[in-house]
Amino acid sequence: MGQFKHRGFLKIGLILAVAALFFLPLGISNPYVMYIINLILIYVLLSLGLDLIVGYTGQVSIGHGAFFGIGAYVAAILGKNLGFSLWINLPLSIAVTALIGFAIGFIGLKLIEEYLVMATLAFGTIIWLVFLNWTDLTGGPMGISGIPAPPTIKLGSFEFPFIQYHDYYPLLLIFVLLGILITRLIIHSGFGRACTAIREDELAAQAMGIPVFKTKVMMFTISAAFCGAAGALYAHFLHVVSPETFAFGMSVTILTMVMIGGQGSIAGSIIGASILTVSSEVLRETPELRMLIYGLLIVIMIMFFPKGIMGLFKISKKRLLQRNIQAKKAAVEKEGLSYEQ
Amino acid sequence: MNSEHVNDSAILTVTDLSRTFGGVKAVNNLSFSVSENNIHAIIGPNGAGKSTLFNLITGVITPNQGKIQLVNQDITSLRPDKIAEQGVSRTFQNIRLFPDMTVFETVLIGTYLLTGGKLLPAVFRTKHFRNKERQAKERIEEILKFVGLWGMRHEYAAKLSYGNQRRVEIARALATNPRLLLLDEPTAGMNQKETKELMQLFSEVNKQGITILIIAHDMHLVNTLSNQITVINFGEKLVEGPPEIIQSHPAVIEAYMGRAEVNA
Repeated sequence: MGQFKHRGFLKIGLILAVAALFFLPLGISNPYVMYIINLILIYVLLSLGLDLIVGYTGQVSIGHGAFFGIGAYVAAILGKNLGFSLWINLPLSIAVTALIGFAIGFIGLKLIEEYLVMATLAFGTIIWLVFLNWTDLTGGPMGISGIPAPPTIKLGSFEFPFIQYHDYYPLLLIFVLLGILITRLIIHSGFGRACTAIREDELAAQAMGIPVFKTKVMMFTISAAFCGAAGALYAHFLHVVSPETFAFGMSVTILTMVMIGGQGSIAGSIIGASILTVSSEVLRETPELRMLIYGLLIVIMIMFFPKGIMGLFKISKKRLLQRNIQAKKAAVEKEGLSYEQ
Repeated sequence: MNSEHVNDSAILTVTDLSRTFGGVKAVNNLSFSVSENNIHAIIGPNGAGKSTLFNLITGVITPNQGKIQLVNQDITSLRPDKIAEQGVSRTFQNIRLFPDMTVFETVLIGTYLLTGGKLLPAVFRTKHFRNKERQAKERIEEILKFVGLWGMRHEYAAKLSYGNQRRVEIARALATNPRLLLLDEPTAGMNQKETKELMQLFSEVNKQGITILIIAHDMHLVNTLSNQITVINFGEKLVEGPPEIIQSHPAVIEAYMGRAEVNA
């Protein structure tokens, strides 16, 4: 929302920076590092998706790991059993998660906040149990392996095969950039503004003619679709999916990314996803410790930095408003007038 | 109740409206109508049911019985956003702004009915979408200049003075392009200067052809500003008429002026 005076310069700088991003693999020889970077890109997509509903619309979900999983499993099942490529599976994954997201949103968003959290938690757990137990379809605890790599892209005489991690990077980057673009287009529109208004004050939003429930459900659906897309990319990138990836911990991880980076901020999603992906690789050997740390981090962020890392760059306007209103109230009462309840 | 009293030029007609909370009859068999282009005031002691009435008209709560009509259309029990769509906008008793938005962003929310909330045109930035966005921004400029907040458009609405926060709320309501504007104690807590300036604003809004229904405690404001007054007490209509009549009506003096300290 920043009003930059030198917009032109900023735009050119941004385009150059984005172009430079595509050349990043040239400077990286270690495939493991490349793998981590690719993973970050997938997580950025997930954070962007969750942030749409949590950050921009103010509706908390701790079940989005399930949408990630559904997207991944749809791609895995179709890729493995029917030999479909990423290009068919990706739109199908998006469609399926959007549909399920719509259904869950339609039921869950009728509930008030705390219960929405519970409903999404229950949904996430149910989906995880389905992955784990519907062995015929999902491979049970073993998951599905041998998901095909995307087909080689041919541009004239140039060929881009998908063999090593370096090859996936530009593809994933393009999808992340697309995700960022779509997020921006959405939030800077009547629909996106309506979502923000709902987050800020539902009653006032509704008085402005905003259909609150419908808007929330729409955003929940889009949010789920983002995670579905990330899932399909994940399946074709790793060639393996297994249920434990999409357990409750995944939902918490994505939420932590959003909270740490800063809700309602694209840069925040990127920062949060980067920090958490790297730290979970570092803590790979001790998953229990990881969840403990994430839990603590969420509590600390909510208590002290509700706007995340990006929020540190802005003053807390909400607190300012509260202070302002209270000061006015006090002044009014002092004058002996009734403020009205 | 003589609910057969028909007002041909009525923009809003409320008929036999009732709403109870537990055992309390907040609004009881209330009938009245608001004529087009009027500034119509609702007065009454605290707890008389004035805010409940506004919440019923705007669909925030539903009545137990009765009917609310906007011109010829029945809007009883419609959702608040549908009622806003019909051209009824409001401000709140306790100012409700969007805490994290600038003045411009806040008022821009009011253009939702103009721009709509469609997703695909937004993603593809269609010509129609861009036109509507431009129109919305032009409308905001016009409104902010009209209410005198254009110079503060980039400030956070929450940081403004109390009087200006109310202006933001009014600007946001005007952005919905209402036919009927409901103001719930818009000058409560304002100093004299702010009150005077707001009154000026209300009459200018009215001159633009927007009917105003206003809840107020300030008798001076009511008498100078409005051309019709409905007095309610215990959720029922006490009397109704132009300010000259109401001012001297014994029932009003007893129920309203006799009890509350009046700041004339």
